[in-house]
Amino acid sequence: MRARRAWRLTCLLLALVAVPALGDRTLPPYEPASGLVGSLGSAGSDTLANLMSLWARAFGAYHPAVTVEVQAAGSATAPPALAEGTAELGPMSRAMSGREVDAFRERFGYPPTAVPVAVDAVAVFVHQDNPLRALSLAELDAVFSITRRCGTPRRFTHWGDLGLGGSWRRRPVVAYGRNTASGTHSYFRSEVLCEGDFHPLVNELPGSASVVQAVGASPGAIGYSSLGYQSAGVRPLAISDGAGPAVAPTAENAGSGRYPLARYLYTYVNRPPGRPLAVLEREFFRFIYSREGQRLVLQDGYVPLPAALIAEQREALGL
Amino acid sequence: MSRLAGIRVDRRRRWVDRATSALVGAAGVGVLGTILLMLLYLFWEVTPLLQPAAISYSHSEAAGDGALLPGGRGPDPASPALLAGLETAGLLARPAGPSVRLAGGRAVLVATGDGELLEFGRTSAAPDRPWALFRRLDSGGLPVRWLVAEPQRAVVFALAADGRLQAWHTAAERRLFATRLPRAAGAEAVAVAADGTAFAVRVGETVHHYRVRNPHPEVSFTSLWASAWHPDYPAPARVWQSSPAGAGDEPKLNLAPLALGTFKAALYSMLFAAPLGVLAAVYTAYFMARPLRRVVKPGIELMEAVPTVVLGFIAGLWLAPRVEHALAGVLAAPLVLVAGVVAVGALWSSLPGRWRRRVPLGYRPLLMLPVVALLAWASVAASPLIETACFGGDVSGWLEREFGIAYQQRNALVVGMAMGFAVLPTVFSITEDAIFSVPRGLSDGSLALGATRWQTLTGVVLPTASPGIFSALMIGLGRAIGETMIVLMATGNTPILDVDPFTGLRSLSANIAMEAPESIVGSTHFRVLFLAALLLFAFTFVINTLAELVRQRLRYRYAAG
Repeated sequence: MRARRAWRLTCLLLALVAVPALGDRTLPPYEPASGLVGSLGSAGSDTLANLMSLWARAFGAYHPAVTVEVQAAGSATAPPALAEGTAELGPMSRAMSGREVDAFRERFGYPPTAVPVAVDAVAVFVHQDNPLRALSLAELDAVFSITRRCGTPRRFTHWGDLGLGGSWRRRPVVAYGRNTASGTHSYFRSEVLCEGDFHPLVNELPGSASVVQAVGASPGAIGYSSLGYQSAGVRPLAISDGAGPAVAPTAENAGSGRYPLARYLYTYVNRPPGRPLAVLEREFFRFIYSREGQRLVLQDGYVPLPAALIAEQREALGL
Repeated sequence: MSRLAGIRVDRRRRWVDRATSALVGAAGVGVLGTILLMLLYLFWEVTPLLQPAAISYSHSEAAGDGALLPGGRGPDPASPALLAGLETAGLLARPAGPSVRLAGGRAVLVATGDGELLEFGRTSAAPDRPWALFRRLDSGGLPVRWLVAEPQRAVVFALAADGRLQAWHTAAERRLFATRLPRAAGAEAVAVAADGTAFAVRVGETVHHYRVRNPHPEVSFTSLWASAWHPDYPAPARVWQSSPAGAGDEPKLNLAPLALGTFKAALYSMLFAAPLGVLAAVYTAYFMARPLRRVVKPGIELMEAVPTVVLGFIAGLWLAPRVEHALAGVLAAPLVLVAGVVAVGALWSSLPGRWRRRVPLGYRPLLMLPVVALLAWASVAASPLIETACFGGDVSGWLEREFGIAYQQRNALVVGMAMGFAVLPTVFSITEDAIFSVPRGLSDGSLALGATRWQTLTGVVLPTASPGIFSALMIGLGRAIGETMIVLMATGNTPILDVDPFTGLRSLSANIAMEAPESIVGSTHFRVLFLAALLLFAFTFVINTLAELVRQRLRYRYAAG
């Protein structure tokens, strides 16, 4: 209970500090266009599920005749949905892979357009009773991977291997993560495992919230998920990239790029080159890039985009 | 007049009869047809995996200055230092011919003088770990002059000086084709396209182009079922890793851990559901008072109405941490329950007869309810005591020391309980019906001849009902094999290859549910998922067929009457 209150307080403080610092004031407020009718479909990232629904609800309030449907099974479901035309928006928590872009290009003759919509930190959570405070990327690789491509000589299976003593020394590390459809899964794989393979004993759960819940229910557990899913019972670890000191996963550190596992969250759209976006998509992105839209990003525990990037994107999308 | 009306009614009735039977027939044929169509569709999506690869001549052109194929890959031999190192390590004894780097340099294929292709790979990314011989491929004595590999897939083209060509997929240990390539004798340079659809050789001043059709080279019996050594893995293994990350990494699509996981989940749930379901059904149908039975039977059948996704959710988030917490008590519970119930039974029968007669025979299980609840609670509550007394205070540590099992919170035991709960109503209901429908005359006759109720049960009722009991178990097993949501939610979906109760699993059905939405339509991964679906279909089909055969046999032997 106390942990939750402390977390809320941190959030509030951060919001107070971060909102002016991140240029919320400089963003223009949203001016809704009138007379929009139709529906928008979104299929993809589970990390972005909450944020997408928040945006969809707020957008729907401005435009009562527009319905936005949000499906969120994992980032890897976005490219097929865009290619098959079953959704107009493809939220992804990672950039599309070469193969996915190729498959799209084969169908339409041009690549899909990536639109960054928020900044996120992938946090590594442990149970709240766990005394561990920080880990390096190489140590994480030794816990989560079978190939250990980052060069750690052996696999870490017990908390003693990670430097804990006492009753923790002999306790096995039980690792949790996302399933392969998740963009967080592939992001973790390329950033932490040096593109290696996950160990088969790493539990793969079909949702970010389930990962956090599973870690909170098991004292010996460690798991990774988007920072936005933090809840009571778990604590995020500070991460060091080997060279510098360990950095705590806060909105500030993610926004400044000091936290090693910070990343952009994207929404992909199908836009033929040289042609403007479809009316509804255009309006949706206008909303996302407005003061109101980016405020929802903050509300959901993520970090708003830098103002310069937003200006650049508005230009590129012709908003 | 009345006769005419009668005929009219008859005619109408006949039409109604005809329409009804046509409708019923159409529905039946429709269902069968749909199943057949589904099966055909599954086959349709899987068959491209079996298509043989082929190469055919396309065209020739004068050699230019640039690469043979724009964006393609030419020979990329291993460094002499690496080959020397392999020779020093004693891995490579014979004189090495041409070689090619695979999987982004994490493995290398070397042709020996006598026509063998040897693949070596590193066993870890750590610098001091040695390389190992991954596999040897027998080219049948092909004197290899050129070796080229596709950049993305482990497809290797081995060309001899006389134009004989073999293509191999190394990890699948599959020879894709062996042919004599027209106009390729005396090739001076070779290249393969990045996507593997074109091959080119230069002879003198002419470049000959060939078309390659080879969409699914990575699927073979070996790659789907046998263990294989992959780069950076410490040992050969059966691996399911469907989405490769690094350049040159391939999806590892071994179905063995998934098939084993399916059976593992089904086995543990049947361990839970079969004894409970059958014994409960025997008691309910044969001993229980009729009014009580009218409440108990629908009550248990109602359990089936709980959505499996809810069961999985509860098992994963509520049950799994509690089982881990009180593991010793949960393991002791079956023993405590059986011993306790027998002891209470003995106590009961030593009570004076007039006390016992107060409760009629069919209602006595109600007395047992508080006993069972108390015993279950006691064994869980005594868990810390049991742990200290028998396992040195730490069950999971003890398991690891004694058996080398790392306890996973989301394990087969938890899945067995949750899925057992889902399967139990099916087993119970069918068994109960089978026992209850044993003709009254049979058991009455047996009792009249002086047999006790127990003798009648084991000697007459159970054998007569055995076909039904058997099919109840088989239908339960079939359901457990196809069950998806419980396994998906309650396990960690770890594709491992063991049958320990305290480790996790990944089943075929859960795997399809998780990976089907992300797979690229038409890719090998997509088709292998269809193969998994076909496999599930086959499992259920075989089990049901066997069940029906055995049931017919039993019914014939114990035919009532």
